[in-house]
Amino acid sequence: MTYISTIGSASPDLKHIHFTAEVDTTKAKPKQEATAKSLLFPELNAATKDHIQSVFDMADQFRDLTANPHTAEMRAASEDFITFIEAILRGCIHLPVRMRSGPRFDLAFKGVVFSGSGFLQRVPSAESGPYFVDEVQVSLQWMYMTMASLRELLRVIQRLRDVPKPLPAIPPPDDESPLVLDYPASAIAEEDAMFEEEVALMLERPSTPVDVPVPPASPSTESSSPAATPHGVSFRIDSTCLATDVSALEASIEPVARGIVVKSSLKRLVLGVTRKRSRKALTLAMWSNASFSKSSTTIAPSPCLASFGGESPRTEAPVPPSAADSADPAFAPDKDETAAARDVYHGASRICAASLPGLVRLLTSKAAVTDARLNHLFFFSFRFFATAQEFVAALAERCSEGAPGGLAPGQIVCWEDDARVTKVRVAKVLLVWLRQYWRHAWHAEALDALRELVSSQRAADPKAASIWGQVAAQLAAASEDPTYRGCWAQKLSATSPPSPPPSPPLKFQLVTKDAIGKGAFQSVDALHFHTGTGREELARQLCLATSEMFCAIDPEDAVHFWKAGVDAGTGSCISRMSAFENALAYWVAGTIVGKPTVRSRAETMEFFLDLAARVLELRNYACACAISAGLGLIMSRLRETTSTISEAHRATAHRIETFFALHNRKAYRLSLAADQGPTVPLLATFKHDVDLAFTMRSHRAHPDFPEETLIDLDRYRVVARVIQSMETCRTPYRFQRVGYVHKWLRHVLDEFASKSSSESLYSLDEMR
Amino acid sequence: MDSWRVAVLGDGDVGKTALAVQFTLNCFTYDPTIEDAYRKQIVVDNKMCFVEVIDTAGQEEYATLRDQWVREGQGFILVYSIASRSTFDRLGAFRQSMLRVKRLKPIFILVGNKCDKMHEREVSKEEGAALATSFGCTFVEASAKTAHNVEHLFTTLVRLLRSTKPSDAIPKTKPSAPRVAIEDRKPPSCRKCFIF
Repeated sequence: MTYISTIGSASPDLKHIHFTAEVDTTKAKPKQEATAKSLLFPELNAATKDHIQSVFDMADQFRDLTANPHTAEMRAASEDFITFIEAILRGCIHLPVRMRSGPRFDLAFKGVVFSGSGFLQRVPSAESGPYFVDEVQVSLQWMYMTMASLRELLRVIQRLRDVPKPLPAIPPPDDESPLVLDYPASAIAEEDAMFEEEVALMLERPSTPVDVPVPPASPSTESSSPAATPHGVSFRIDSTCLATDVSALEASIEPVARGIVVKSSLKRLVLGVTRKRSRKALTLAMWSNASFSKSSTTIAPSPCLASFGGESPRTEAPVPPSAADSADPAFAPDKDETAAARDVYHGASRICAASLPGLVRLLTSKAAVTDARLNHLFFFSFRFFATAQEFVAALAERCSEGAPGGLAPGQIVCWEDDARVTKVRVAKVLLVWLRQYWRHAWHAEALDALRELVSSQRAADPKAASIWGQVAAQLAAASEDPTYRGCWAQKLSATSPPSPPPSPPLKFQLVTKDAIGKGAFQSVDALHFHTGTGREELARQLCLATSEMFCAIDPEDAVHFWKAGVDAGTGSCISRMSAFENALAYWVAGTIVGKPTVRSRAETMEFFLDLAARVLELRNYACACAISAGLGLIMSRLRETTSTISEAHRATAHRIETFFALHNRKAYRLSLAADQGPTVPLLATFKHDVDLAFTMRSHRAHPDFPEETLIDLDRYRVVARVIQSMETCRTPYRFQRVGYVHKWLRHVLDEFASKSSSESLYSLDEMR
Repeated sequence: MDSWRVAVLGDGDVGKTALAVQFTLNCFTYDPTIEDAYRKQIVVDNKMCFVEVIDTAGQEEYATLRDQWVREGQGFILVYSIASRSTFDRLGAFRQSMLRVKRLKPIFILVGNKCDKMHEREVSKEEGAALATSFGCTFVEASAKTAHNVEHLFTTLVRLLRSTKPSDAIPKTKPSAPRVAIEDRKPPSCRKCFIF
């Protein structure tokens, strides 16, 4: 049994990121047996084997935690996970120097450092924010990437161990001659062949193991090239496992998975190179890294991993001076970045503005992790600044981008590889759009253009036919049903923390239940609920009533209604809810004023304060604010009654009023974003945000290119945040519905809902 | 340095948010989780002051909250759109709230916004001035779109606030006590001395 397969069998839940998950030791070939034994370095195994086992255990534990995420536990698990990773990497110092000095080991080592640092930085620090679920998923993806990087490192160790002779000496540096010329053309071609095989593996996922030959070096280059490898040596890749790896990772973090499999992308990730270079040039730079004394990029590890800087074989990735300091003509120019500089304006911490092609370029960037926030921002708001047809046209243009002029033949090959990846990303974006954000009523105009794009791309790239086939199937489903909508909301609710089970009906029987049944509503007083269970039951029924009204409001429709005021259906739902809140406030005020004595008024006031505090605890902000407003109307009029209530109730009144203070709703907004689950938010706050968003400028000039007018994303970021926040709240309460309480509430509130606001205030003033 | 909290009141779609945004232009980044998002430091009569704008946009349908807005504000900008007669007609309700809640005479300015839409005008300048006279307040026509008179109306309001409250700061709790309390309607003789 190989060292790595031992890990795999010990952690069956993580098969999708294992190199060789199932190896029968009894049937192991002599070659494999020898390899397994040869990998058992005393230095590495003695301390590191347990650490590797622990890493996989911790990964299992972390993954389980993401199902029901708690920040503290996730942070603790991630710290342990990184500690074991750190120990494994420290253990590599005991490997033979000839293994540690190779570029492949260096690359794989830095890959683990990079992904580990990224993972640690992305573990959510607080259980708050509308993006908490996304943050958890991203941290999980980074954990997978770290595991994949670790697997890659172990595989490299195994591969290097298989090499029967030491690597040849690295030639002395020669800064005067271009690197490309130092590297033999035959070796470049062989590297390309291997690369193509890996890409094919990634895209086609063959079901049978394949032997990928390590390219034999030509006799003329064997002694001089650092890339030379022994003749006839081949390593065996279990393609089933590799396919499983890629499939599992691709589903969650496809571009990063590709970065792991495709060497050039991983090298870019590890190096942190922002300026894209051609694959071969990077390969050469890595092969020849020992020959350069000048380094241009340094990985900035997380605090936990920072200690690795001095102990790893090489923590800095040397880059040829010609590549680091000036544009090397050997590198293919990156159209993505040159165009993005004009099309996208990056602020200090976010993208401030972009053109539509720039946004499409960001969405389909082949060098970045899929950004859920960018997806939300774009798909929730693009309808306000572009049509669906324009978006599809931009995607089609992205697919049909041609190679820049003046490329060498080798560079064209690299460019074609990248272009194929870009097209796959375009397909992924389409799939996300169709699955999660598509609305037939809004986007149907682009159906024909979409069909044309999908069919042309499907025919153009047979290797990517699978992903385009998925797009075509989703498109067919979306086009058939006029009521089709994306499933973002369902996805969100599926990943939300589970709600508590429905509570049984409280042991509360209204003494006048029969009276309500007979229609004698006037005989029922609000103070009949002034018991512990009574207040609880009334609070729950208020939550149910308002939640039903809120859940009937579609967030995207609401935003469009607030902006344009054209959707009558949504408008009526919103008006119904605001009328309910106004009526509730007037009912509270009217009930208190209608009491005959100061003592009874004070008692009623205390009852409503307790009720407001309870509905606030239940995250029914709409009712809490309405009751608070009703109490505010009264407390400014009945000073003697207000002075009679207890200090605790006065403090409660002050706390609730401060919580909903208009000049600063920071506390409310933080509370709204803190937890998910059943919530009835203040619609007025959302409407204010939408009003403000559409008061902001829609376009702005690029600071560096004043002639470029870009879409101001700050405006649409607010819109997307409103939609997402409203969507997050749309979870119904799971309380038992008590019909007679609703019947009574409807009766008492209808009396105030039928009056105008001035009538209600007038009657309030005249009641005393 | 004095601080004033100014509430912008008015019907829906009259440009309350636009006025607030225009006033705080170049120093305004919208982030609701940051306090003082609508705060601006200005110099009025060679004296520095802070102006915090309470934007009531989006809350127009919630008449029950009007008292709360008035309680929170010290000065008020009563806004209507010159292109909408109905917004002009509904100003009385806001004035009533101010009169009801504020103990002293409320400090406010009547603003006819969107004066750049001359061709859509439904309320004449004379009507606005006449209403301001009946309210006993200053009248200004402004345009949040072109920034016409926006700075002027805020500085005018600060001057008015200073003239009535020479030195004031934003209170920690409620800015003012209720103007009329129903239960306080007692005959003045109750406040005289006792006769044994």
